[in-house]
Amino acid sequence: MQKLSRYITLLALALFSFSAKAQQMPEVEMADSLRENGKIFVVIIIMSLIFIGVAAYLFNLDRKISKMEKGQ
Amino acid sequence: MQGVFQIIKLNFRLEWSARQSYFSLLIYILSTVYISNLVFEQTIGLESWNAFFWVIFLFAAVQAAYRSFYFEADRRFLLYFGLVAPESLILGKILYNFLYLGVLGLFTVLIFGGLMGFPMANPEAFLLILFLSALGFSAILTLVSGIAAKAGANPALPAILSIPLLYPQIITLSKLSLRSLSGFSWEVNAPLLIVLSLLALVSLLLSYLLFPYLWRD
Amino acid sequence: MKGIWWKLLGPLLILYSISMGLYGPVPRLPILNETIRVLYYHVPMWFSMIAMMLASLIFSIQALGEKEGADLKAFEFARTGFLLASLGLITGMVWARFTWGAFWVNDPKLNGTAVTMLIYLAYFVLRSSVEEAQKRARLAGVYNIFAFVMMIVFIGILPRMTDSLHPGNGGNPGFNQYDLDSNMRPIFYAAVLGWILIGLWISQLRIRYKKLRDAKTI
Repeated sequence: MQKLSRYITLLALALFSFSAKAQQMPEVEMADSLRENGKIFVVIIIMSLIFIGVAAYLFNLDRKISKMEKGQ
Repeated sequence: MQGVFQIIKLNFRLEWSARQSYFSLLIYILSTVYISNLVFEQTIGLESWNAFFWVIFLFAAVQAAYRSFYFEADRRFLLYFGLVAPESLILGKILYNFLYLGVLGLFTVLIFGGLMGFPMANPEAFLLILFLSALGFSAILTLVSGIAAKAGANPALPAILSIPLLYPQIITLSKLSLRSLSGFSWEVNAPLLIVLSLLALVSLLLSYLLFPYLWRD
Repeated sequence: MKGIWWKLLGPLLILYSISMGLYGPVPRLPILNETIRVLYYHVPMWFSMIAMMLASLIFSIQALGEKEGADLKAFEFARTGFLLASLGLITGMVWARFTWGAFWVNDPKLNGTAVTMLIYLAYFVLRSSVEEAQKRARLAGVYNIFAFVMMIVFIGILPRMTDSLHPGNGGNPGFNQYDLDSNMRPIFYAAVLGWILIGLWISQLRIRYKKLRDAKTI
């Protein structure tokens, strides 16, 4: 019985949050124009480049250590 | 089991022959309680009572347990080695520390309460929490003081090692004990009490399982 | 873990999470707004930290079984985990400043992290205060196992007993919708897996370096 009532509350909560979400949709402010005019790609490219740099550094380190290990 | 009691008896005898360690702890509690009394000129609120009490008890407990291995870093370890199995050694030490911390906790309650008042709404619950905390503290502190004694002479080590491990218990029990000061419902607090006992049990089990590795030389 | 495939896979997964995490659609939620994307970058730090600590635990158990070199591995994994935890803490603090209004709030999850970091700091102190290698392996192993259990209790069990400010706990708008959001899930999992692989890689590099250095000094 308790389980059943829990399911019912869950269902009610889910329905409630769904309707609440549907109402909020237009109000919540998001960076839509950043995505529309494509400037977001600039950010993506810059962040990716930085990360690629870090990864390349790690690769380089890995190669150097491998070389040293072979030398032993 | 025989070994466990032997250890407790031996510990008590040795500790009693160096009685000043008991008295120095008592003086430590007295002076820290008196400091909190000086700091609070007016009556103290429940939350501050709770916080001060547990901090004082925690540091007294760390010191008390540290003494349990302090004197025997190397020499007496060897003496015990022929005498008992490591499992009974750790159980004996934990039980001894449990009794010790229990008495210490009662003393702290008496001294602290004498100076700052007894605001407990539910004394039985408070004593139960004190008892559970003594059990959990002794399990962790005994193992950690063993580690610290083996690691050598860094006087800050026991506190550094043990206090972070005690946080889960301290958070749970301070919440519980605050409720026991302001009004305690056994039904509402049953889950937290179970968590506290489980924490003590897990610490006990871990100490019991891990000590033999510490022991091996 | 032999071979190079996982060293490539890790960065690729993270690149995917960077680009799709910024570009992909997210639920529109009040207060969180665009900061919901922090999920892709901040939360994987915690997941990968726990993975590193788990690896450290496994090697510590091996170290208690007197396995050669396991203590070093346990230490290096704990170090990487600590690095990831610090990054997670710093990024979390920045986010908290703009979402909750303060860098530090007394939240069970934040406390859990702070405690975890203190526990592992104690572990590092313990390791550095013992000279003899075998003894150090045993003492540090015992402490690390204890530390891991207490960390799991603190970050896994205690927060469930109390309310948390974190999104998804106790009436806070937020991430519990992300569980339902099928757009966010693959990116998030990719980021977690990617950062775990990067953490493994960094630890492995450090272990190899230490082994080389030790071999040289002998």
